[in-house]
Amino acid sequence: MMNKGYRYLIGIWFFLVAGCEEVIDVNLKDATPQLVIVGEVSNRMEDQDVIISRTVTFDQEQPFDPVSGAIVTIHDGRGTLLELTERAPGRYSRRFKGEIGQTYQLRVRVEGQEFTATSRMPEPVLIDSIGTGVRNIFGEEQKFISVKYGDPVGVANYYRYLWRVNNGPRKAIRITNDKFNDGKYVNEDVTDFDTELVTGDSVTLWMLCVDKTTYDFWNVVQANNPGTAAPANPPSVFGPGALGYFSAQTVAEYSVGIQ
Amino acid sequence: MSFTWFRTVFLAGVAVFFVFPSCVFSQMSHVVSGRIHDAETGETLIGASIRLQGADAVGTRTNNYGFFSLTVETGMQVLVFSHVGYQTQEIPVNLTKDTVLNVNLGHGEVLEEVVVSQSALQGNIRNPQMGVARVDVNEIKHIPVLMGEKDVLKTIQLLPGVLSGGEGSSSFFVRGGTGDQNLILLDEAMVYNASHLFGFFSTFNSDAIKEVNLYKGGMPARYGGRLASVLDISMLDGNKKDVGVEGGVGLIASRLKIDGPIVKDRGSFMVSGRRTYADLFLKLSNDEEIKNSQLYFYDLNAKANYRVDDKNTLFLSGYFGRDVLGYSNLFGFDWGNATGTLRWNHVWNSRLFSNTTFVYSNFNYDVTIENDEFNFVIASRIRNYNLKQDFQFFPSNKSTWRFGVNVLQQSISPANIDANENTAVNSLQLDNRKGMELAAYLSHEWKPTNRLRLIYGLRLNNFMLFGPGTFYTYDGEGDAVEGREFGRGEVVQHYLNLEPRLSISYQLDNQNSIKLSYNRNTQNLHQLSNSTSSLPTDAWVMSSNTIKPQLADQAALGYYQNFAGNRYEFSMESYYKHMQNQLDYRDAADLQANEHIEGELLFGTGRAYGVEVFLKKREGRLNGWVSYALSRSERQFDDINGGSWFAARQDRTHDASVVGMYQLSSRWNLSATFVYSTGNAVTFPSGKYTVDGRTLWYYTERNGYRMPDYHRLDLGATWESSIAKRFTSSWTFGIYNVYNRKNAFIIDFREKEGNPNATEAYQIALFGIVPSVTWSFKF
Repeated sequence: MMNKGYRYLIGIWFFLVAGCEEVIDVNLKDATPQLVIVGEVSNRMEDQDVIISRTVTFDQEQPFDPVSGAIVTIHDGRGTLLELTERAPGRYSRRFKGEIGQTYQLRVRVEGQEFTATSRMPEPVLIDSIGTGVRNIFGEEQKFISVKYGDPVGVANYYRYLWRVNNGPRKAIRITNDKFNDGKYVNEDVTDFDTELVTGDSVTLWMLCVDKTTYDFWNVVQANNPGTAAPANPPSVFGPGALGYFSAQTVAEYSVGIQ
Repeated sequence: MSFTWFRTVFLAGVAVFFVFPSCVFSQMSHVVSGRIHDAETGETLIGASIRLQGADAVGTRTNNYGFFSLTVETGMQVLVFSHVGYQTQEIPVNLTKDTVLNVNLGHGEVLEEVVVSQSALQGNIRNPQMGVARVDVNEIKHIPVLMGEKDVLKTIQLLPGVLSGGEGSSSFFVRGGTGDQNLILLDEAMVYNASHLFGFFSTFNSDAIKEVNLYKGGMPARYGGRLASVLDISMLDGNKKDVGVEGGVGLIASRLKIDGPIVKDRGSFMVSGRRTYADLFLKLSNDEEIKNSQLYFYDLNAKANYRVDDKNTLFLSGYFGRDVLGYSNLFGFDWGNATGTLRWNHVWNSRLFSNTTFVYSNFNYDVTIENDEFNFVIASRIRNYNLKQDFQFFPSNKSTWRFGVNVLQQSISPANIDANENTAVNSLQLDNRKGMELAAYLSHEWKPTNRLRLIYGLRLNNFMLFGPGTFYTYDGEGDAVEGREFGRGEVVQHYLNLEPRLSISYQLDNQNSIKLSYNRNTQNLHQLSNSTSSLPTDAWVMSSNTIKPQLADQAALGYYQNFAGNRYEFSMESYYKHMQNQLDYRDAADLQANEHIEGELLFGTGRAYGVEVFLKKREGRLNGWVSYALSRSERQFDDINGGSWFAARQDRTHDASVVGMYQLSSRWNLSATFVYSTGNAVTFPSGKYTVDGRTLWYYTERNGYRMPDYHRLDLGATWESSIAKRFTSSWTFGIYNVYNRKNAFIIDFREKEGNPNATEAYQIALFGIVPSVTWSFKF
């Protein structure tokens, strides 16, 4: 869509100016560590995780600084209060299955502060077909995962994609919405500019249907590119005291062999 | 209703020229009026000086159409006509009645020192107008530029207080303002997007340009509509004597100009075109898709004028330019401006000159996407019709009045999507927006004493936003609260603004003066962009129930000195500017095809202040200038940085340029330009965290960091064939960024390859050393 057009545009632009790139040293300030809370509830029977951490300085080799000792509960909207236990430093879990259409409330008590957030699990949209796609940009072949699905008409839908390529880490790659294609049969090219897919790669792809606040979070992350005049933190459902989001989401998992 | 004030001002204007004559014409004096032309081409000269010999204080300058009117005492008088770069002429006249005098000024012999009268050279000292810079189109032809495409917009960036929009960019920022706060006029037509190819080249083909004036402050009352500056560009009228052909072949583009008389000494025409040919290289590719791709831009300037009789002259001028990008048959993107100006100069009598102008200006872009999945077009357009009536009245040699009215009708059709039924995209139709600005102005240039001169004036601007359409109000979060339907022609919102303008000069002696100015400017058209480079797709919006007019008050104080027989010119200006209703955006604002685009905006205030120093050597084998500005530009928004003041992106503490040109021999001219500036204020992360296998950046403050300092040296050399022959040609060689400085265009952050836990910063530089060569000819 618009994005696709812009991608071509950016391609042409970089082709034109063929800039030179080098790694440099930038003297960045060390911000006071800020809490980060990321909670997810899915429609699968699995460990539902709430990860609590702190930001670290740019130079730190390990970007994850876990926060232990928090009290974490999820209220399922039917009067059940589920308590999560810390299975690993900063990782608070409980095994249960979320329900579509249900609104969940997360409550986190940590270091004398309390944070709450709610999220409603949207209706799932399932992929009809998935396969390998190829495009040719300025003589270079680029492979991607081609995903087809029917977007439900009349409702705002938000889609999030994660993948694992071969035995690599599970990684968030893309967020989309149906602003320009509500109700259409959508053909989405899923790719990540940092990863080059080759024949024989095995990819696990997760397609998530998320709510608007989760979309807003990831959309800001995605929109912060080098050409952004004012990059910013994604909006937080927890208010100014903590970064992060809470997402009740449907998850569908697919396996693809790259051809 | 709103027409009441309009009528009042108009009647006041009319009253001025009927009432004044009766009270000032009592002395024994007569009026000399006429036009000043270039002797060779017949082009009218703008800003040429007319003085009375022996009484230096009695004098005036030609207006934009080369017209002057001067009241002189009866009897035998000698008038001195002069202009920078021309030979002075002294013409004795025996004044017994009002006299019409048309004068031709010659360039003088080649390499012979052109004798320019001292009074023409002292114009900068006397003129009460401050914050103005005139760019000599002949001067810029020697200044080295990127890829050899000489460019007025890049040349003005070498003046103090004018910052470059970025590496190789033709966009510019004036005194802490943004790019959309510059009013760019080409033969009085507003040019919406003055750049080609994402800003690397301006839309102004310098072959077609006669004169460029940039106002940074103290804007004359006849200009309005933008906060930061007015760039007034006049196209050449065309040679009135002979047909001439001029052209050139450069690295990027070729150009051709033809001009000549329609009827000798009565009318002339000028047609000038330029086209790039980077796309010809694409044709050489083996790849089918690249072979079928397009990448070019072109400009076409045309102008014709005809002097019907001594009192009436008609001008018709137009510009048409377009950028075309296409990738195979899959993707097409083109954009461009079209302007048209029709003018009628009328000399009512030797004291009253009028100009009636009708202007059309249009900018639009189209994106076409056509492949297996998609088949749709995105289109957007902004357009205006502008009717202007300007009068210039010369009641005495101490006073000049200017007054006029202006009706500007503007419409914006925001990005709409027109999609095929079967494509995976929905059509989208946003409401068009229509607005009208009615303006009236009155200004008086007055010399109460020999030393004191002033221009004071007032501009009234009434902006109206019209229906049809739905207009929303927004809450503090930017969410639409209420939509109200307005019918066709219904006034949604109107803003009335009064803009006082004042500029005073006090001459200490022949060589020294001080000047003072104050001006208020308002702006009702705003361009929205949250990216670092300006794109043709940046949306335009008008003032509305949500967006208030931007408003700037600027006060400036300056000191001016000429020395060593007017060979050197020095100036120092300081200014303070307060800006209201400035625009910024919410985080991750969606500025494309968004019905609620106004909800994405934040409103705040701005301030900019600084000192600018300029030293110019005007003549001799070595000439050029040094300019330096020390400045600050800051903004304050409740929702950004906790409401405290922060540096605007274009806040560059130091900005300096050195321009030198050296006439080595009659054939060779060498030139060099050096620029230095503090880096832009930028937002970098001050920490990081990880979510779902991705490192995310933690930002603590807007524009809290600086890009590295920018500096660059360019060299140029021009060889000219003998000018005595009818056919002349020249070769211009240039080297951009001689010492191959890797100026950072972008600094970004990423996970280290192979170790996603660790992170690194990297920079992208656009241009290393870039040589260029251009061949030009003229006959």
